[in-house]
Amino acid sequence: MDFRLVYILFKKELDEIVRSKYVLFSLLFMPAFFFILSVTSTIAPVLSGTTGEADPLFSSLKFTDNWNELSIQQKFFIISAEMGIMMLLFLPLILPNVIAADTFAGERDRGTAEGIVASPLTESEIYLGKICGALLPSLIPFWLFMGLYAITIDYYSKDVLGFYYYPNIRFVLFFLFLGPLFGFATTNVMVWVSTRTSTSRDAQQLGGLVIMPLIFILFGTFVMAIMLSWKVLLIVILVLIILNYILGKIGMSILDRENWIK
Amino acid sequence: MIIAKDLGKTFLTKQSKVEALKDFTVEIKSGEVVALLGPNGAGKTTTVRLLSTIYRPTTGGAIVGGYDIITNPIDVRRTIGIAPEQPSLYPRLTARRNLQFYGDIYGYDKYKLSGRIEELLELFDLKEVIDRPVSSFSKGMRQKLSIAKALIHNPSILLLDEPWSGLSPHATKELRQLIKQLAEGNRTILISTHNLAQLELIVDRILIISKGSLILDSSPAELRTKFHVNPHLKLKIEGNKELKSIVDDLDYIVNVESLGNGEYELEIKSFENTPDLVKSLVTSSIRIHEVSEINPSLEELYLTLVSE
Repeated sequence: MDFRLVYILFKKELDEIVRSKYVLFSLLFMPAFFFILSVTSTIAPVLSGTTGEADPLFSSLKFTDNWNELSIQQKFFIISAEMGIMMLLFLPLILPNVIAADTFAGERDRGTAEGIVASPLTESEIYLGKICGALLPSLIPFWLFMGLYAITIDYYSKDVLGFYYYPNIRFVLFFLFLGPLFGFATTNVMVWVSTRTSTSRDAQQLGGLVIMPLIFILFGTFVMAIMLSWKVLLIVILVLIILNYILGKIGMSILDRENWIK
Repeated sequence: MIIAKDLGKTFLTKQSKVEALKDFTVEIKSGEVVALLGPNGAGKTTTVRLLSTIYRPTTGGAIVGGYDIITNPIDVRRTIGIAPEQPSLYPRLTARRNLQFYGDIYGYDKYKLSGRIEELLELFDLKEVIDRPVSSFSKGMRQKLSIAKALIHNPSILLLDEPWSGLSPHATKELRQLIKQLAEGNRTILISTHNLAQLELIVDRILIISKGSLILDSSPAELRTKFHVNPHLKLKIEGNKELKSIVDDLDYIVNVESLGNGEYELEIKSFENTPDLVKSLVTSSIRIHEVSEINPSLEELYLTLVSE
């Protein structure tokens, strides 16, 4: 595989994305919406003092070493902050949908696929270039709003908790590994769907269904992370790496230039 | 050089089996300009896609630019330039960016690429719109840019699939002149089209395919001879003198048709007989106002062949 050619295709994909107002709007609006939702759901109850009664569940969790010494308000703040992170973790699952569904089916719709398939690019180079072109623009808003979220929460956590809550080990694992790995898996699935459907609209509709299992995995991962330990996340990361490797291999093997433009 | 032997492609669907091309055998020499003619659905695009390695052949094979389309598809793709029927251009990107992308993909020297882009856009009269997005281009401009894209890496073989599709008469004429210009170099060009009228003065050879089979491979001149299509002369003489009795004795005159007002159309065996004809008419005291050669169009012949 010639990675120079992968990079050239990736750069072209990026150029197309930054020139599409619809895609740019989707890539910014959705994360901003999730960000506002996450921040307000974390901060508002604490600021208004409506944290509710102590729940037995609160005691069974242990987010910090001094968990049992924290007030109900502080515990509520931390749990809300973690829930906010989970909401933001949906971004790498949702955002690639916008771009990846269009990668192959869109090129066929617009009649640009023939130029690519007649070029010296191999199937693997095309596949990888397209994956990178869909994944990175989806991860940038994820990283950006995760970072903003951590800063915003820390701004209040100093007052509420007396220390900066982020970054903690779970945040780092979500930020650096789980988010990108979930994004990579979604992109793989969406690109795979895109090669099999005739229009980008079909790809988006079908892709929405296909990523449902990934959403369940994400939810399960999150619950495991808070109920058990961050160490569980390392196992999940390993499983996701293997899953992505398999998905990537399948994707490269099923991409067929003849079927793509037929 | 393109050598195809028993090249064939069958598409299998759930309901049927479609033989899009069968036993296509042809040899196109370096520098030859060849037209691949046929009605819609004859197998022209399939042939182009097979030669450009987009499709894998079901039967037979081909050598394109010295490389086997089955065992060396990437080398074939590097050797050829292809302008598909629907220009493969990214509408949101500018003309320059489109050419730059393909130039990079084909591995054109990055230090020389911007010069090459300017040179091509100058040749295709698109330099003024170099930094405009392709979405703002007319169909004719897109078609020209698509051919420029196919030429970006200076390929020795150029495949043009229906280059005149959907163009206005003005754009058609402009594109014909451009292709004629390209044909003057030592580049092998295969033009797939259903429009013979655009090709008569450009091509060295004509391949006609119908229902997936090659039914004719010939030069335009051979085609005329083979099908006994004689050249015609248009003659305008003074007054309304009866020409038929004068030329009846000339054995190279095949037919005489009066068009009225002293105008005649004469079918002759060869244009080489024209001076003798003029001499005979002058000897018979006929004042000639005009003599012009009419090359009978191959269009009708092609339509006849395809309908058969």
